[in-house]
Amino acid sequence: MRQLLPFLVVGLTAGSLYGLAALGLVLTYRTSGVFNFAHGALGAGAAYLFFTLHWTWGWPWPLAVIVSVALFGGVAGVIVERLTRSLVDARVATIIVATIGLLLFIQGFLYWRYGVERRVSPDFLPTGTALVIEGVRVSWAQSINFGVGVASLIGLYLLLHRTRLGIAMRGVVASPDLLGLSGTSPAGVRIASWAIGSSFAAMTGILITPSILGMDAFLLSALVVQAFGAVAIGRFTSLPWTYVGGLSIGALAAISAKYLTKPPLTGLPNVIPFLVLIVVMLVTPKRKLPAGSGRFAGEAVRRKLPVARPVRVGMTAGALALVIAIPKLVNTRLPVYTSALALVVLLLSLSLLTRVSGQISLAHAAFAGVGAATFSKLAAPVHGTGQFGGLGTDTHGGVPWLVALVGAGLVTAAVGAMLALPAMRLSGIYLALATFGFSQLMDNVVFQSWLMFGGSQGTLAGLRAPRPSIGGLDAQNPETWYYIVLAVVAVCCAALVVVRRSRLGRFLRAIADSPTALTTLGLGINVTRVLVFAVSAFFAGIAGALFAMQIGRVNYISFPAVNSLLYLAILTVTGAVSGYVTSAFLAAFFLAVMPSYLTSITFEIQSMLFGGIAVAAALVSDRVGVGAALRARLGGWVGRAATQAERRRGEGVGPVRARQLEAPAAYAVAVDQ
Amino acid sequence: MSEPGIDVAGLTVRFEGNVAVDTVSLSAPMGRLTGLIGPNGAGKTTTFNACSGLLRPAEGRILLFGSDVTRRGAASRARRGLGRTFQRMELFTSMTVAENVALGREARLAGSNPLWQQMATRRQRASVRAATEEALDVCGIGDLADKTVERLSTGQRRLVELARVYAGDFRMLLLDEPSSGLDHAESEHLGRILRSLVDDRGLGILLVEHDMALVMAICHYLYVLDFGRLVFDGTPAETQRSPIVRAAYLGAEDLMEMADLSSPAGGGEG
Repeated sequence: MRQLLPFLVVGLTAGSLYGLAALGLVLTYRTSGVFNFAHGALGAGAAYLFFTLHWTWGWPWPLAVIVSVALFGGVAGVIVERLTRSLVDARVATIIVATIGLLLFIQGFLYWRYGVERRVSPDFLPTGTALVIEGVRVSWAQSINFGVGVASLIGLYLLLHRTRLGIAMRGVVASPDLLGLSGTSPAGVRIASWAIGSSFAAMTGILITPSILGMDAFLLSALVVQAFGAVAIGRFTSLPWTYVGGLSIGALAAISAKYLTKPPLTGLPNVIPFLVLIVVMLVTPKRKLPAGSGRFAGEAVRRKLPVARPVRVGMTAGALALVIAIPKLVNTRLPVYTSALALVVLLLSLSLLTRVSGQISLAHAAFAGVGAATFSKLAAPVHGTGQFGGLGTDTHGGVPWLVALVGAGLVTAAVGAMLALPAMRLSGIYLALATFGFSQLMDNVVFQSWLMFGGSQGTLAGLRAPRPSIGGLDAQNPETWYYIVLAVVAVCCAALVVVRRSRLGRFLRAIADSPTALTTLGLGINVTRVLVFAVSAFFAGIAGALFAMQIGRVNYISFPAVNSLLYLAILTVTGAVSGYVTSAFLAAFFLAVMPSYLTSITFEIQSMLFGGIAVAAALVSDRVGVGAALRARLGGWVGRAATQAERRRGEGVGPVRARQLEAPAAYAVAVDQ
Repeated sequence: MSEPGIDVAGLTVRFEGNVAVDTVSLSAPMGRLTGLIGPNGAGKTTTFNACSGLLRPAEGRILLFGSDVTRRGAASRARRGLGRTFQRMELFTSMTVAENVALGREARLAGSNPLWQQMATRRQRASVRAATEEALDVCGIGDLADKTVERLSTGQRRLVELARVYAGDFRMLLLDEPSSGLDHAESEHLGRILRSLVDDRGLGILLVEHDMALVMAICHYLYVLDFGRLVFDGTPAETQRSPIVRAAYLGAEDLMEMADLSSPAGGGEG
């Protein structure tokens, strides 16, 4: 216990701040139904703002805190509320993409403005000794951090139970329509809770920077991950338990950091919130998990361009010719295009899951990693000790190339089927969180282990992924290699198109619309869900293998979990304007090809751009369509102008808020599946 | 009348302490159109959800074609031949009418078999096509086949849902307010379809319905629920005469009167 105490002090201090962030997250989620992936990014924004105000411009710290928390946090909250308000009836995936887009945007902005390197942010709170527990020194800063968490919990609790606004907030959770009818505007209440929730995030960001995280936009944005775990312990509802959850995650992470000092387990403390999250979600009965906003409608209406069939056929043929001719046109940039082709398969497999069946996966980067590792192990000749020569390889060389490729797909499919277990029970935001948790676990722990890219040669060495030698073809030649990849990609795309048109594809589209109906018609939809995850993962695995061969050697940092967010975001953007296959090609183009031409656009700006566009696309994409959204907007303005004109004439009654009268699908009592 | 359809014995459903359905027993055999009526909130849809396996009862048993299915899931019950429609319609709105109806058959054929979920034999495909055409024809919505459900009126959607369970070849149907949203002519048409399913094809139907005229006109036998309890059962004529039923429907007499006027089976009660 004596040895643990210092870790416990550090852990509980951090945990109190995690709890603070989690309280803000749960408040906004419960009042609006929108689970904000950008919650931590808001905290990061506030931390950087504070840094500028206090350390660069020399403002006194209390003033800087007030401005960063109350002004920035509050205003950011109001802006996010504005952005997400129109999404209450949108598809769950759309809502998730909107906040992920915001996360990418803020992160990109901070990288661009302040640079990617981690900065030291000095303590602004007094660091003198406040008290000594059993010989362990606790500083004033630590005590204050802890105290702020406790005070916020108590304050929020009192607010919710003792004030009119708080009661209205609880009312908006129970029944926004009734609240609207009783004369309190649900929108106003939501704005208030977003302002409070986001300023909690801002406060966390500022306090956690000096002693615990440092100025690092990535780490600060990942605060939301700690908050996920805490929120899960509070079962997405209870404030006290959420705070306790924050404390325990902080403590657990600190203690495990003491004991787990060998790689790959050094990554485990980072994943603890997700492990907690997944366990809680798996053991909590589904009806105990509050429903968020959004619905599971299927494929967005196909907005086919009103062009004649011959024109469409011509366009397709033209595009095909272009893809075939690319090696003759792009010179040395060819490898970029080859990567893009591999990416097409990955994106199309994701599209099958999200666009067709309305499920969400934030694990596709991890799937690609599994595929890449499996392929390398199967196909690569093993040198030296043969310590990781499992999976049927021997020292003479790997299995035939095609067998290794399909094997990579099959192993990934098995992993995908395993991941489908939560999919069977969970849906919407919970599925997104579970898959993201899996992704984080792979990224932080498993990828570094001997199972995947680890091995005797050190963690960064990774694995070699040999290109095939088919007949007399020289796959080392970029042009030949391009055509080999193109052939594989063509087969995969064809297969994925066939899947969508097959019986399974019909079931998937139907699941997106009404799983309940499918069940009562006799379909075992759990089997269907496992199938689609397996099929999707199969192709993601093949894509990963292709990618590995393209770059020749892959290691554990080749497939970061964050990429999954980017894939989903960009696919939403292109999916809003184009069809199933086209959108995958477009997305791959934007992700892999475009940046190589626009070298002035750095990674940071790219993240900002994609994030911003994803938010915009989410707002206009969902079935509504750009046109309809504009019409609604215009209709609103015209209507408002008319009401005001009427009022001026003194004959009007107040404007009827139609939006509040119609019941959002999210809050309707759904048949328990 | 003796061939068993669905039998409910001592069904009790609780929602967090509130008793929604309280020891209800009823029987809807094959070849009979059985009505389940009662005021709003009486527990009709809850009974349906328990029958079709969407929610687990606190007590009681559900028997389907004579065998106990209480512990079986919704899909398993459906594969044994229990079909249902929903008061809040559960259609595949982004798909066409024909696709919706075809899924009624395909879902049952595929069941929980991973292989059949992915592919169909030539014979299955033919049977799906035939069933779809027949169902569309019987329900009179053949001309809507290629329309997306999103573009249909409520009345048309009700017929699509009916066609979907018809195509699924379910022998026992639970229909939850199939006539709501239909106009008078559509409603009569629906009544004829339902009667012919029962009389000509020997199906069993358990019908929840608020349109008393329709209920009195087509049902053979009625159960009346009030506050989760079964308060009466009998023929439509007996039901209309019953003072208990009148009390349950207090404030809704006009419904009963309307039924008196239009029902061919309606007794002499004034």
